[in-house]
Amino acid sequence: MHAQLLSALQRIADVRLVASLKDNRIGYPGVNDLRVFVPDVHLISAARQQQGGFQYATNYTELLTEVFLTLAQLRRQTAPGANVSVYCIGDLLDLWREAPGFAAGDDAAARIRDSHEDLIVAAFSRDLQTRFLLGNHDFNLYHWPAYTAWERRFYLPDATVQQPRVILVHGDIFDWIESFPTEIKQILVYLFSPNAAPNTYALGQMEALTRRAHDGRNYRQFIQAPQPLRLGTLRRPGADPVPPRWNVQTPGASPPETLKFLDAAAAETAACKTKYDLDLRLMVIGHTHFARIAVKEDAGSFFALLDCGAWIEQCAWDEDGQTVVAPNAQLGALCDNEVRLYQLAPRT
Amino acid sequence: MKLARFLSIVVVAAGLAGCCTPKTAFVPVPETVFRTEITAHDRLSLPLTPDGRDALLRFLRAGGNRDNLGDNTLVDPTTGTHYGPLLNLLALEENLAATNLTDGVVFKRWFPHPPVRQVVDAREDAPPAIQPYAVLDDQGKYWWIFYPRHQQLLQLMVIKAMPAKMER
Repeated sequence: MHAQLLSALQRIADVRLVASLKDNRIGYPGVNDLRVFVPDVHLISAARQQQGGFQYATNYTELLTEVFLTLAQLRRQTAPGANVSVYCIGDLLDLWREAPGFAAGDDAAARIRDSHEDLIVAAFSRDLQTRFLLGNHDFNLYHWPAYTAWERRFYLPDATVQQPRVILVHGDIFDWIESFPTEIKQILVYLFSPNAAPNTYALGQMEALTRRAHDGRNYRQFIQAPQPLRLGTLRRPGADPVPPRWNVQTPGASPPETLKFLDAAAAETAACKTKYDLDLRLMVIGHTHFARIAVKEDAGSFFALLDCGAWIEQCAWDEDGQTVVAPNAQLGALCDNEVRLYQLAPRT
Repeated sequence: MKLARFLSIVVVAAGLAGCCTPKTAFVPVPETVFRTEITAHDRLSLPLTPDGRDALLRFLRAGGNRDNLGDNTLVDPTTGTHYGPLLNLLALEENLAATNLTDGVVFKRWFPHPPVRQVVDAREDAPPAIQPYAVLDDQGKYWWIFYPRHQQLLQLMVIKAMPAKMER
C-alpha cells in the first residue's frame, strides 16, 4: 500500500523521499494495513499570526488540506479487508503561541479552528477518522469534551500475534527526561505502560511539566529550529523502486543531531520489555520537527525511531550537488514492515 | 443574581488536578422535548424565515417543552415581547457574522455572556469539526446554539437551559 499512498501523494504534490527502511524486525507485517502519520502542524489563528509578530507560520496549509482530502479518498477506495489509518501525532493546534502566558482556554482552540476551517474540516472528516495525539503545545485540550478522544499514546499491534510492536507518542517526553529526571518516572509509566491510564491528577502533573518546559518563551523567532534542519540527501521517487534502506541514521555513522532521542527512546522501549512484557520495535514521534529515521541495532536487538518532522519551520537537503532549503512538509507512513518519510511541496 | 444563575446553569466540568486547572464549561444537548429540533435535518436556517420564526416563537411560548406544542399549552405567552426583536435581528443576513456573538453589540441585550464553544451532542457521530457557538440568553432560560460556516451563522438550535444542580 506504500505504492498507492505515494501515487496518491504525487497527484497533488511534488514528493521527495526523505528516508525509508524495510526490515522484518519492525514487526509490522500487514501488507494491507497502511498507517500515515501527520506531524506538528502548529496552527494559530490568522489574527494572532499578525498580532504576535511570528516570523514563520504553518507551511502549505492548502496542500495539507489536499493531503487530508486525498487520504480520505484513499480510505474510501481501499479494497475490502485493507485499511488506511491517519494519525496526527501532536501539536496540531499551537495554544502556546495563540494565547501567550499559557492562558489558553477553549476559546483559543476554537479561534484557531475557525481560522483554518477548510483544513480543520478535512482533518476532522468522518471519512478519515483521524486519531489525534496531544502534543506539548496543545496539551491543555485534554480538559475539554470535544477533545476526549485525543490521547497521549497509541500502540499499533502486529496483527498476526496481536502484540503491540509500534508506539506513537508526541515525543516531548524525551525533553523532560533530560530536564526533569526525577519528576518524570510516574509519567513514563502512564505514557508507556499498557496497564495504566493517567487520572486527572497525573494529567495535571503532565500539564505542569509541560508548562515548566515552555518556560515563558514567546516563540517569535522559532520553536525548534533556529536554522533549517539538515535532512541529508533526498531522492525523488520515480521509476526506480524505493530502496529498502535510504538515509537511515545510525550511531557511529551519522551526525549526532540526527540521533536525537534515539538512545532515550530505545532505553524506554527496552524498559517496556522488562516491565510490561511489551516488545516494541518502532517508535513514531514528532515534536523535534526533524524528519528522520534512526536505528539502533546489534546482533540481538533492533529499535527504530521514526521522527515524522513537521509542517512548520524549515529543512534543508542535498540534491544535485546543491543545498535546497524548503519549508518542512512531511509525512510518515508504515506498512508491510516498511517505514517511509516523505517531504512534500506544492506542485510546480 | 443573573450571574449566579448563569454559573449554576453552565455545566462545569474540570480536570480537578489543582487550583490552577482551568474550569471548563460545556453545554449538553438535552432530550427531544427540550429542543427546537428533532434531528439536525430540521434545524432552523438563518437568516430566520417567517416559518422558522413562527416555529421558534411557538417553542419559546411553550416554555421550551415540545409536549406543550401539540395542545397549545402556553408557559410564556408574552415571550414574544422579549425575544421578538432578537428574532427580527436573526432574520437579517447582515447581523449574522459570528463576531457579533463574540465581540459585537448587536445581540448583547439578549446574550450578555461570552459564547461557549463546547457543545456535547450525543446524536452526532463525533465532536463537530466546526464548533458551534452556544450562548445563554439574558433570562437564563435557553441556550441558543449557532452553527457557523466560514464565520457566518448558518443554523440555529434553541434548547431549554437546565440547572446543573436541582435545589430541593
